[in-house]
Amino acid sequence: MNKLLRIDELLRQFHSYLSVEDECYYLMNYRPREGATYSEANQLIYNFKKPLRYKDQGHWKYKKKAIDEVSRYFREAIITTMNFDFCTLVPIPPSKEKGDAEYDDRMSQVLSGAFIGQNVDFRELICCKGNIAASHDSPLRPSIGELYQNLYLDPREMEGLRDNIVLFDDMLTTGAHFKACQSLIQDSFPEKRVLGIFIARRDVEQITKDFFDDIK
Amino acid sequence: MASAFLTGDFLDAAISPFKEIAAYEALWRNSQSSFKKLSELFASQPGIRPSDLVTVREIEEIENQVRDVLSKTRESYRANILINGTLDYPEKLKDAKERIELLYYSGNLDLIHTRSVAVVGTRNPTSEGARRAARLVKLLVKDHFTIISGLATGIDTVAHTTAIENGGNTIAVIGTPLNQFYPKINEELQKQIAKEYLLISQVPFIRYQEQSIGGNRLFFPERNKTMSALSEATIIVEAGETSGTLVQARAALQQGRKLFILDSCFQNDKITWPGKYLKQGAIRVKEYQDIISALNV
Repeated sequence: MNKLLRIDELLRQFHSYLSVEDECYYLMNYRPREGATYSEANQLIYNFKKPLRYKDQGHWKYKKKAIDEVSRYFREAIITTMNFDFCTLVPIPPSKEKGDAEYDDRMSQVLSGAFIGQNVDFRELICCKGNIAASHDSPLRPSIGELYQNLYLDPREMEGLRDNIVLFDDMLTTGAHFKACQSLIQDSFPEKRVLGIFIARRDVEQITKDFFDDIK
Repeated sequence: MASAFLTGDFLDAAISPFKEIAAYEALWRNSQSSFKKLSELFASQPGIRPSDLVTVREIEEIENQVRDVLSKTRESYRANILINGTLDYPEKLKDAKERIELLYYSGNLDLIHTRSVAVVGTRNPTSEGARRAARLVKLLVKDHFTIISGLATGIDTVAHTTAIENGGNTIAVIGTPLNQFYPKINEELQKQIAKEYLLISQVPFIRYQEQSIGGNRLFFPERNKTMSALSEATIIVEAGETSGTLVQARAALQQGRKLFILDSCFQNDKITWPGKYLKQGAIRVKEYQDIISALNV
């Protein structure tokens, strides 16, 4: 059983950019740790985010496995509960330009395969203009404004969006990426409802850099 | 704008943790509630949630109190839940005779997936008993086991502190709600475990607050069953004939977990329980290797 959990008043305050109106859902809690990982959540996220530079190495197969596993979890949690006819599914883009050697379309792979048999409208609606500096260059994560400035809507994907835009991402941390994407969509389509679904919410005492930041 | 997605199915299908906490606390407010009754109730209707079993009004009546206790808890550490039907809920809890539908925790949930053993015993150990517990925990930590215990005085405290002092991991399964510190002397240890390791409680906040001390005492043996279910094995260092530790001995055997009893317990002619559990499948531990061999390390 793997039902989605909603960010509500129990945990909202730990995702500082989210407000009461935001509808964000997640499958599991994830606590970053250094070194060995034990839990399914940790292994899954680690493998799912494995950077493309490893694609010729033996352990790349774990990334493929993680993509399949995320697809399965989303399928099980969402397929019987979401009315696909009213939804457009959009991945929150990786912070690299399309065409960059490190551009990782893992979430697109999930969304294009997870819901076969449904009336799925999946689009890479949001694109990244340039590579955002990795957060190890700065002690601060980029603000919503900085993220927003670096994003644009792909004009080829804007026709016939459904009522609800469901954004998908690996991890909910502060909620900044979600809010930037939500604003971008609602600036052009104020009548659309924008929700977020995440594999995991990051559960840490303080939001600081961990090694996954470098491979967003 | 109105669509099925917005108004109905999707939102209802996702679990809202705060709402489920309030509902679970409301269920516990019923004086007839017990872990046994609630587990039967949930087992009789698979897939049902706490919020399906109470009225909106009952949730509303308790919400503010729940908000207060959670906010008070947050002054010390964060509280989150494990709830049946989600990916984080540990499958091994399903081996308990009475499955706990919802548990509170704070800390590093990752530890629940490590190899772990429970080290438990009396609140009033002999000095030799305390030394044995410490020696045992040191060895288990060296072998990368997470040490689970109940944060009581005596053997439990030795187990947690020795694990931490030796660079190991520890999980405390307590018999009070997360917002209580019992015994008071372990307050700092509880906070440390909740932040750096893992603290777990199945005890409802509001029921605990509203009922008598006598009623609340009954929560202690209940958590021993959970401790056993979370562990690969339970090791009893020292315990009297009427010790709560023996609840865990029974639970371990019933749940198919290994039960180890230190040899020194057998040499105490004032107690009969070691022989009784040995007959039921417990393992008599003469040396550390007996534990390690049985655990296939």
